[in-house]
Amino acid sequence: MSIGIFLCECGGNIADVIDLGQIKKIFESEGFFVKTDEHLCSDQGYRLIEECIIEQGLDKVVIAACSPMIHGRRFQDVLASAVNPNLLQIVNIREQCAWVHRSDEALYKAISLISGKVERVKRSLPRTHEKVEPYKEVAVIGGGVSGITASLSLAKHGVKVHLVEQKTTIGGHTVSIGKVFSPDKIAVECALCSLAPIMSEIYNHPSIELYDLSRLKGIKGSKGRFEVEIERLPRYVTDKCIGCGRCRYVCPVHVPDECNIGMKLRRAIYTPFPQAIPPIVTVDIDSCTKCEKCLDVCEIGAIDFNMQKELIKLKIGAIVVATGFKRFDTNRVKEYGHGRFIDVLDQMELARILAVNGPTEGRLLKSSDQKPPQRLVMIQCVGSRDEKIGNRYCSKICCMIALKHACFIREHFPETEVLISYTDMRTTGFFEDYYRNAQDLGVLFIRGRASEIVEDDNILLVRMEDTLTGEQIEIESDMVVLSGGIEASDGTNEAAEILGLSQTEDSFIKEENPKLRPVDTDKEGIYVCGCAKGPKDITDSVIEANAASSRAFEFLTDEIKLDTNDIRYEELIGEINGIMQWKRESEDVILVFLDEQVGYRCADNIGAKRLEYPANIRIIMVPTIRTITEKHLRYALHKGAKLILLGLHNSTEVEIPEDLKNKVLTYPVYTPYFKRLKEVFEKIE
Amino acid sequence: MSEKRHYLFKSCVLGAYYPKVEECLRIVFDRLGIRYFDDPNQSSCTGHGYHSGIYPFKSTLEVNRRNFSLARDAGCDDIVTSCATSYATLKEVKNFLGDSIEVFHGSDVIHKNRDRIRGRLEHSLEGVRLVTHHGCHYAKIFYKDVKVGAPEHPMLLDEIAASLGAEVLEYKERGLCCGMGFRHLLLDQEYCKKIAERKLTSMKKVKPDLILVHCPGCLLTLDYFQAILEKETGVEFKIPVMHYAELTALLLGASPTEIGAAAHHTKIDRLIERIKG
Amino acid sequence: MAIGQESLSEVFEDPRIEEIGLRRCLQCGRCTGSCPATYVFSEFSPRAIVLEILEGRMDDLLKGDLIWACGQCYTCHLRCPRGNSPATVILVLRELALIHGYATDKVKEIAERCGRSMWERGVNFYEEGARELPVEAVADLQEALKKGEYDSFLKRIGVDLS
Repeated sequence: MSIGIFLCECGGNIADVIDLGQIKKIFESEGFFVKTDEHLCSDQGYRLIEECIIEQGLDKVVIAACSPMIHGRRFQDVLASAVNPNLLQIVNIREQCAWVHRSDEALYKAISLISGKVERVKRSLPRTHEKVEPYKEVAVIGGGVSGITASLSLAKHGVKVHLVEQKTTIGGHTVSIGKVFSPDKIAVECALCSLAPIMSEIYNHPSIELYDLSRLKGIKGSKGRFEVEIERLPRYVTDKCIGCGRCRYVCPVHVPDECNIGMKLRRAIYTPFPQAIPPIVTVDIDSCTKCEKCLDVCEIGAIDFNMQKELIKLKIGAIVVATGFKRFDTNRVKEYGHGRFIDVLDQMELARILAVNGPTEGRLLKSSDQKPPQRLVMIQCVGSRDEKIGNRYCSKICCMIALKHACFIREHFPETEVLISYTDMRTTGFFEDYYRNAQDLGVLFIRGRASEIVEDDNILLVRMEDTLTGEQIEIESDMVVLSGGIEASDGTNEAAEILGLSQTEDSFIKEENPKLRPVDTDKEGIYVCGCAKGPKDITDSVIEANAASSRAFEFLTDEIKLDTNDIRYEELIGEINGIMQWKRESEDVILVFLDEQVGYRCADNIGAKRLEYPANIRIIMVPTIRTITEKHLRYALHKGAKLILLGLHNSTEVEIPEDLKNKVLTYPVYTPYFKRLKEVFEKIE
Repeated sequence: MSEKRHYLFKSCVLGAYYPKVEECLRIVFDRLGIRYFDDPNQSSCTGHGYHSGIYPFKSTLEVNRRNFSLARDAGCDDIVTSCATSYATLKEVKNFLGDSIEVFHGSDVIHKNRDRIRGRLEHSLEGVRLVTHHGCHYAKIFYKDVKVGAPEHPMLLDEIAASLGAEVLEYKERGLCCGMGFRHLLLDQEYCKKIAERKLTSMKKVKPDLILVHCPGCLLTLDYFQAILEKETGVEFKIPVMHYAELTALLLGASPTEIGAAAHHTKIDRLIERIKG
Repeated sequence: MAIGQESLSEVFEDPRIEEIGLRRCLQCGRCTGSCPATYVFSEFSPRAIVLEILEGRMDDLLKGDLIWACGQCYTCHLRCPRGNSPATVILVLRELALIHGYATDKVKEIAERCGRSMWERGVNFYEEGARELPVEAVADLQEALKKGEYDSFLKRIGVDLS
């Protein structure tokens, strides 16, 4: 068997720290073919490797360069015709070596790591990648503006789309917001007017199957050939319904209407709004008293109380997660009195008031006395940019929402003063013009984050410091609107859990690479778009939905290889052996096992930040920590490892045998917390 | 909270100005069969001085390191304080020293046992309207530990009051500090008067029969300054202020003398008569 | 501005500052908007104090009256969206001011009364008949106070314990 070792200088990143010449000498003296190059990841670099493989008759290849997370796949793909991908291994001598250790230490560690991969690859067997024939069908989870956009785009690509929506109608939050701010003109447009025709297109499109009142329940199979399970709740009304509305008139039950944030009432048998899709009524079975008056008046016999929950199994090639957001509950900020004072609202409630189909038919009236407010104060950053209540991040859209409403009110209800209490006005790009326009319309901006709202003699007092003048003020107001932020929805959490997707600290779904692959998740064949991955406005949601659709289509039409990431028992033994062979007399080698998805990337981040840690740490990447068996641990200790560290993430649990408990440690890893991982590396003795 | 012995941490303000109120907590614990240890060697936590600026942090740490070891030597593994500032100071020190001893406020224990107390009441607060004021150092410093209600709207005293039969009223300046102001109390008192006036004015608006507090500092401030404000501004308050321990002891049958009613600057006799019937 | 820069790093060395988001201040003004001391001292503003620190203008802060206006109610600590705590920062500044020999007049009177009461009796307030510690306990407490360098602190501000 002939193994070739290729060392990359990485344009100095590696070569300036590690003396590659020395490494070449050592491995050549052991009979390996060794070649050095400035940039192996370049086109010329690939060709160099390919030529060497052919000329030298190499069976297996070890490339010592940057992290396998960066170019690993690419090397395997490009050189696939010259060497079987499973016989090519990458050694990380940059992020986990040259960038984090001093020169002399780095050299030694690099030698041991290369040796590790050499020993591993010696025990590797060629693998033919099975080609996967994907189902040309996509499931889109979530029927808001993102899900709708992705569905139509995919359908137009000729793919069959299964759109799964948990509510009784598609449309998401866009149906409730009333108006949208327009990126190119200082005006507002009707949200539902823009969305309704598209919703109707979904309903009538031959390639789109809509599953309303449905949730993702489970998933089996693997990329390209998923078996997705959907649970569909009964609507109790069949599609014979023509929407005549007679049933609604006779229903005796009145309950709060969700689309109007509870500010209006609806019946137990209802349609959320006229343009709802599907255009059939629904029975809210929890509120229904089973008086059956609706049954009596329905001449078509569309109502069927015998309908049952359905479990639907679908064969799906790719999935797009578009599960949207949840509004931050501004009731949680007790000092602002939402829920205590009737005239304190949040922006969504204001949107309903200003909407023509809302509780006041578009007239700006106070909830307390149905009179127009004299002075309306908006408070920004409620539940956002806040380490105490809500979320640390900025919710991105609240400044624009406030301006949208502020401008509208100033134009249509000029007798009402509008004040905005802000910390920063985040109106990026061309939205700056909106800010300017608001100023022209006489909206008053007071810089300071409101401290509390109290009520005195039915007047609301907004207490704050005007930080630009340093003055303590108490603004008298008769209506306060809280600009609450947005958070990850329950649907997002459910989808992430069922599909096994990584989530950020704030529970949004994590993209594979925020810069270069922003709509891919860490699972191939599953894509994410819209607010499921972070706060954003409609424009950006639509853009991402189109991107996700494109990526899903690429995936279905490209060649899909079934990858087997598993490392065989012998291969891991080989890698441990190869590393420990190079342990020096006095050296305390600490073996760290990190999983590919999270732990290893975390360690790479330490390198990206150039934070130093001791070089006696040797990291081995495994597909998951569960790959490691007790035998591997004992073998490693037997070979001289002083300690072993296992990086665990999520709820991974491992059982460590009693007698090894003081030699095998665990540490919870999470990709952004690399500084802590570095500290663990430093303190581990 | 453990069922073991609680190390009772005494308050300096009570010790000097309302000594019987300190004893009231013991009366209540005795009635409930709750075990405790009263250590004469326990020193001040330095909290008042620390917040006034007369203790470097290091001194506060060392003094309370000693108090913690006293609590341990007594075989107690939690500390129950009479004062909100002791509560916060001991918690702060315990975090810095990495000490695992648990620290509770006496009103936490009363709240936990309020159903048992209700069963043993000799008198109730039926018909009494009251307002509550929660100590800033209880609710705002270790806000994550506020379990009853929210840090901005604590309900600990409200629930205790409700279990004693009282009607609890909301008032505008519920979140405002009582005005004790630490160093201000000992020096100029301008701060105390102005803030207490704001607080009392807001309370007076809802016409309460009683102000219920759980911190000796709040008790002292709201009790003491009513007469002074009356003299200086002509505005009458005359609202009795009571500490939860003395109120609970009274309702469990203790006499006005036993609870030290006379020590109050704003007289509480009429209220007591009303309660006792 | 030498003392400004020097004491700026002293602020950040205090262990209490590590826990709070001092550098992260947004100057949003929530603290000042919530502060009762502003009702009484019109010049006082926790936000402004934090700004003075971050911009290195420590000199005036340490020598001035403002840091002594705070009533230590911790409403700012509760409400700061960045996890900062002007109340804690002010305690640190008070300690620094005294270390640098300023503001002795701000504390001498209280220390004379309460500090001495603690040293001699183990309680902060002493009135006739009030609680005090037994003699052995006082001696033991004094050891703890010495360990916490309280005796030297009192000496520095002019309270003679002898």
